[in-house]
Amino acid sequence: GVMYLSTSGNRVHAIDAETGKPIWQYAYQNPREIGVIYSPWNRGVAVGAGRVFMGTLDNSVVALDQKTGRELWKINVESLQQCGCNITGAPLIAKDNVIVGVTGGDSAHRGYITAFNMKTGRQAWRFWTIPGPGEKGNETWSGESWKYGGGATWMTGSFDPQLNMVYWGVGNPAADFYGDSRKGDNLYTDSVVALDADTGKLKWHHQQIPHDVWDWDTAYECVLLDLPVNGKPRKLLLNVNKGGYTFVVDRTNGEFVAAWPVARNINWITGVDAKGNLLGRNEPKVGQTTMVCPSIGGGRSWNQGAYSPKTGWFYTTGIEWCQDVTAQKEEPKEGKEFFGGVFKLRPPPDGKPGGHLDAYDPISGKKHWTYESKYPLLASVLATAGDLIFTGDPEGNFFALDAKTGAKLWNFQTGSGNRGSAISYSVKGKQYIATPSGWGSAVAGIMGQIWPEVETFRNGSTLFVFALP
Amino acid sequence: MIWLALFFAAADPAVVARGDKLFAQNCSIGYCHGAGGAAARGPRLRGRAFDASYLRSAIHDGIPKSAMPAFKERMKQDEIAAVVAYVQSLAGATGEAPATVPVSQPAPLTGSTPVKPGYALFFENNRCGSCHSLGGRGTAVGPDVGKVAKADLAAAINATRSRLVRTVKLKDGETFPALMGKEDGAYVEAFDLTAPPPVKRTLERAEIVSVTPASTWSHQAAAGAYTPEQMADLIAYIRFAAAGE
Repeated sequence: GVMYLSTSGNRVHAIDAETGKPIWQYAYQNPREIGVIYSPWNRGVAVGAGRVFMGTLDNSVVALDQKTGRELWKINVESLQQCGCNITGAPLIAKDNVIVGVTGGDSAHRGYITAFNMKTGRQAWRFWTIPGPGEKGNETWSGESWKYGGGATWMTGSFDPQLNMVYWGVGNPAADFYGDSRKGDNLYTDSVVALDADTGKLKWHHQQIPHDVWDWDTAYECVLLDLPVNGKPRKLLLNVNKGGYTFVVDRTNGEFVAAWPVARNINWITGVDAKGNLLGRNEPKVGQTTMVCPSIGGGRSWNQGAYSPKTGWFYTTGIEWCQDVTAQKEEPKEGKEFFGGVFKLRPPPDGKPGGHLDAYDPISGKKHWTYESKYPLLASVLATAGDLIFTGDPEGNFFALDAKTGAKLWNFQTGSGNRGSAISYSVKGKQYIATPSGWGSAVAGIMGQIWPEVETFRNGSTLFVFALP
Repeated sequence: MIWLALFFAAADPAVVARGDKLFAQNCSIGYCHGAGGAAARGPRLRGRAFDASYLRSAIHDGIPKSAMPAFKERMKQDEIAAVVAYVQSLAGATGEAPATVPVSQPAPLTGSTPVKPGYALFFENNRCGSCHSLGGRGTAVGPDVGKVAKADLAAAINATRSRLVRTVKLKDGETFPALMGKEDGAYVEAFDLTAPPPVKRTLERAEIVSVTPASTWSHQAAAGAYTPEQMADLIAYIRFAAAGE
């Protein structure tokens, strides 16, 4: 009956989930100077072995006593100045370990996923998302580019206890828009990797975008689905990338199954063939301006979609926006920004900018309904067994749609933009729906280039909990 | 005197133009500020009046606990003054920010990482840097290697024992080598050195059976792991970094 949640600047709150009464609070002491662009946000905590785990802005992991909030252990994953990256994603628990990714990909660094023993904090294993010299895949990086090639592991992975595999989406290669100094496919950036949960060893990988020059992180959630494909039951993994494409693979071996778009304005490729290869790449050029759709904010943003086993549909958002990108040659400096270009957002050429939430068949990508939104929808989607779909918008509305038709059934104005993830839970047999409200973030900032008025949207940091009488 | 100089500098179109270029090379890059001070990940700077001393402090020292880094080691004082002058010149800017324009590669920043062969040996793959800080990098758990005399460094790196490391035994039977940290009432901090990186564990005094001098712990990654050439590189780097970058 206790809810644990984090707020920006690495604070953790334990709250009575029935009454909202605070039980304990913890404030991590970050150093005065962070100076890493992936700050000061946090996406959540994990709970296991009587502990609450959180990654921090100075690239550490802390374990707190679940009952009191007392810090039990802390480990610095890597020096903040060296990495130029930190941890904003919620940790994942798999067996005895707590597993964390790192931010990055827009800095000169080499990404990784690290597992720590939940009890002692000792490092159990590390998987480097870029293979080192002598390792398979290192040949997909020209010269020394592997050292500073990004491959951040921003979000929370997924764990399949039956297959004993941990799945994680890996972000873009660095520099974002300039690829001439990192010739090759750049493994395992823009890939989903499957790791042995005990050792962190690679079991398989599936790269969605070889040699990305658009900053299309493949770092979003890995949705594990058991569904028939052409009449045959398959264990699947669905992942939407920042370029606006959904990839479905077999999660036992990484075999490609399907790909389909979540945004209408996509021009960086013309499509994906039957084997999962990209067609018609439209790459930014050095010193020239190229219009690329979607914008770097993504054909979908970072917060997760939802699958409903009741309808059998996957619910996710999409965004219609573009940008003018100019690539530029850039040399890496360890731990420092490494973009290789500049961009300016613009509305799509053939229509209005905006967002939408859609219901899809998870394999064919067939769209069953669309809910249109004036602004991009940046909050996560929640599907309930009562056939309701919950999400919120930048104007502060938290609302429920009919899972079968998309019709709006209920709306509540929370007073500040919705940017987090709603959850459903029950205490003593009563169901609750909780959502955080509070505007902000990098994407909220760049939205001002298309919608200047969002700058005036109210900030906030409030948790709302709803129940039926 | 400095502020007076800044004040006059702000009115000089040549300084503003220089600040414009520096802003494009260092500030309106990728995911930081927008072109011409447009809204981006960083806040909008166009059409807003900022105090010069605030701007100088934000650029020089960064903004505490935020994404805004300190530029004091990346830009010279007169460069910072030029950027301040440029941002102040945007106070009256109205309408759209200029379109994204190609800018030359960002100017080489002063104080970037010196590339020395010993650097990788010190910092990469959970080696020295996971336990020792040097030149503002790494994690300061073990002794300050910058203070070790040059003649003693080789012996310190290869040391198989340490006078500082203890063996901690807990009630549940667990034992581990540790550097002891702060003690606070009922709690004791111990940096668990079982494997790098060290884990700072805050133990209840009541769960500790004993803390005794360690007999077996050693620099696992270091002892005997280096060729004479690597050892020379490592020591040269430590001496170089300790002298100040």
